[in-house]
Amino acid sequence: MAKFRMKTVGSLLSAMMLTSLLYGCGGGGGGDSADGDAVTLTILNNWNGSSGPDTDTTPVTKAIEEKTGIKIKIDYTKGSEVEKVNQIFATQDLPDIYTGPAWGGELDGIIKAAKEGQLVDLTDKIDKYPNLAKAIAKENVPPALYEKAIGGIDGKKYMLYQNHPATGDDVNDWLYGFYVRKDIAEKVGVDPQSVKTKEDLYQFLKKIKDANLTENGMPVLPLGGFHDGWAVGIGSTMFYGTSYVDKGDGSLENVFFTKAYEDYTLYYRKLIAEGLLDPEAFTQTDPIANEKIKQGRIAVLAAHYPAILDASKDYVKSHPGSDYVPVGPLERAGAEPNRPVDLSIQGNNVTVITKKAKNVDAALKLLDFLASDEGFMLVRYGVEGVHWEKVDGKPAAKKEWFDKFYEDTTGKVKKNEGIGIGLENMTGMDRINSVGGGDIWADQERLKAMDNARKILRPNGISVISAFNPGDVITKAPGWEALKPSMDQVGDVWKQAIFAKSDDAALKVINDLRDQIKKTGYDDAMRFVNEELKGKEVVKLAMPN
Amino acid sequence: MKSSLLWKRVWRHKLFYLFMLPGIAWFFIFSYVPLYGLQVAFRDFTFVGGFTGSPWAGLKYFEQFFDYYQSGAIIRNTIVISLLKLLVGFPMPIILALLLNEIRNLKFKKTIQTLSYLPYFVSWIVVVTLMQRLLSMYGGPVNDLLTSMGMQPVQFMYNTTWFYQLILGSDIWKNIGWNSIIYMAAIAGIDQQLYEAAKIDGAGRFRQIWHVTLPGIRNIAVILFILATGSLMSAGFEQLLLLNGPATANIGSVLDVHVITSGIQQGRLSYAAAVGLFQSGIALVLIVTVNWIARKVSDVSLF
Repeated sequence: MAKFRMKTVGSLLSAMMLTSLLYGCGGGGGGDSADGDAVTLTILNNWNGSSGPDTDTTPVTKAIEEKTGIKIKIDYTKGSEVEKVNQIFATQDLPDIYTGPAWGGELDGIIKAAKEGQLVDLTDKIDKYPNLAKAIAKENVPPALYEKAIGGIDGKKYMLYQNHPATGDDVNDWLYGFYVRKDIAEKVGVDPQSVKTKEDLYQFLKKIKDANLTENGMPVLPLGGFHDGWAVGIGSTMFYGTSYVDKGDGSLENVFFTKAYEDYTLYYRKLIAEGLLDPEAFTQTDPIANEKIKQGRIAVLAAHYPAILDASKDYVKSHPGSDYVPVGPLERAGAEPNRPVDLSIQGNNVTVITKKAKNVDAALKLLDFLASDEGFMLVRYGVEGVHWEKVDGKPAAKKEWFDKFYEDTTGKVKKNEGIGIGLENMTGMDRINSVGGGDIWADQERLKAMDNARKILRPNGISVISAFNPGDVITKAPGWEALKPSMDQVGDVWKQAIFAKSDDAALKVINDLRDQIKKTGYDDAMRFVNEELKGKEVVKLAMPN
Repeated sequence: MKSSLLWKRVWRHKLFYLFMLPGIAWFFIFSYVPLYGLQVAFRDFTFVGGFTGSPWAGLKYFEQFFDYYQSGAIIRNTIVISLLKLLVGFPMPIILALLLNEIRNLKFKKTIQTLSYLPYFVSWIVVVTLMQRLLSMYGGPVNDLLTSMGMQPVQFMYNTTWFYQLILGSDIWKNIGWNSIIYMAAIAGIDQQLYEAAKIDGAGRFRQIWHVTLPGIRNIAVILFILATGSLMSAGFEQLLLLNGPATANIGSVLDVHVITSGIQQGRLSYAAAVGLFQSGIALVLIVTVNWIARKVSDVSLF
């Protein structure tokens, strides 16, 4: 009997193991599902580090369901966005709706997916959804992006486009730059605004290093950034205007082939070699970077200002006077001192409906609602009457919620209400000031800091770039498929070069890739670019944004 | 007649075969079923065509790999790291098993054994995070200790000078205990009379190890060595992905990571499959060669 029991238990265990093993291989898959009367749509918010609420249902998603009859389930990307795009299409683990960056490898992946029949063709449907149609109208999309993707792939429209400023009032300047802790600048006796040239910046960082500052017994690093080196490399604008430069004979070439690029690389190599730039900056994750900032161990940060303000909030709270303030404005290669800052102001997001979506009309209905004024304000401000109300016709935060959100430095309370959970990436054109009431959740100190930084870094205002970007045009060159893998390596090779043992070794690393790029059809591709852009206005200067 | 006898024997031991089933299923699903996908190395992969319907591309992606200016360096790095792991890492579990076998206090032996297995179950991401914390130049306890002794802090991580040491050290730390299990089992299977006979002949502890234990585990060591040579073209994906950085890329870029970055990050699935197939092809040749040599010089071989 005991033997029989043992046999039975053994067989059962084995069967369970096998079942669970095989079950694990089955695709989870998203998709439309009928849950009572409501349709459930899955959304992939492909922005690295984005996150959502603790539960799927929030006051905002509930309000959306009441308005549209659609339930939503959002997934978030933790890691490379390009990797995620390639992965979902290669494995066919598709959401109903994909939303993600409107640039780089992410956009290339979406274009490839469109060409290969992975997306829903919206050409005949889009006119029925006025809010969506408006956001992809030719006049509301930068010309190169319109030609490359939004205006159509092989004559068919697949992509919706978001966050392009609707009016001049809605232009979002992220204020990229170098920011120094005010108390540290005072300690080393340097006025951050006196730092103008690359040599000034180098000397400034050196002074910080030589001051041997410590925080809780740990050394303070002169210059640092966030994940994977973002965005310590922005000092490039002190060396060259933009990614494609005039060779001198009127034709364009990629800046990677220029002497300016070598100087830029060797400058950063010097910063690494002399211990002025955190060597971990290129391999660290955001949590590690944030930890360093929260511990007060980074003197100068290079990134956009909102990220710096968020990361330093806790430290500044407990150490008044340690706010990060702008350095410079620093010199800009090829720009007159009185020139407004050239910014590429455009939408940052594309949204597509994948072939997995069984209920395309529901997806379009949802997206059209989100892109309406009502949807725009709902996902950015919360539920009217609950989280905010109109004062003199403009949205204003309710004090109770303002205080709750302000007290919570993690941002979780806001997300649990359904605000900032990725839906804001699908709200059509950016109308934050022209329709909305600005960032009603930002505290006065933050707004003041942003205004102050704007005054310092944009003394001549900004100029929105409307010219063609050769970087968009080259992707249409006949040999681009062979050239792209080599061009994709420029960023990695730059990082390798700045860690090289000597200047010569750094230049060798760059020259090796130059040879490879040439070998894989660079010259032909540039001939195509120069031909295509003949007579057109081309971007010559651009600051990060 | 013969086959019905075989089935009878199988049926008699059905419970044991049932226990084997998950393992067989695992190999079938994860090692054999995906083999059909290898054809993508010879096709221009498209999302719509998939593995079987994409157009044929011949050897285009193999040519692309050999034309790639860093392919030589990547192959060299992979072989160097794997060889180091084989030469330094392979004897370590044997040494640990021999040492453990000599411990007479059973409680102490069990404790050491358990402690040495534990790191195997810790994922590489945790191991590398631990290393980052311990070895950091900024507040890491190792550097704190060095500076308290009046020494200069050392940048261990992402530094070519310390790269191989960290790769080998962490690999040995993680796997030594687990890999020693099979040797411990082999040692346990040695006839105790041999030790007694050796003792009578006047052999001390070292002599017993040399003349009884080592020959006793020789066969299993040769088999494991043959299997290990199959991994020569694979230096360890997770470990290298995490421990390699821009500063060490010239010695730390390996095939495993190149396959993943080109396949998943850049979406070049056919190219990645071609590189992966090349890697597996070389591994197969290595295993067959080493197996042949092993068969010639000793009587132990896999097949």
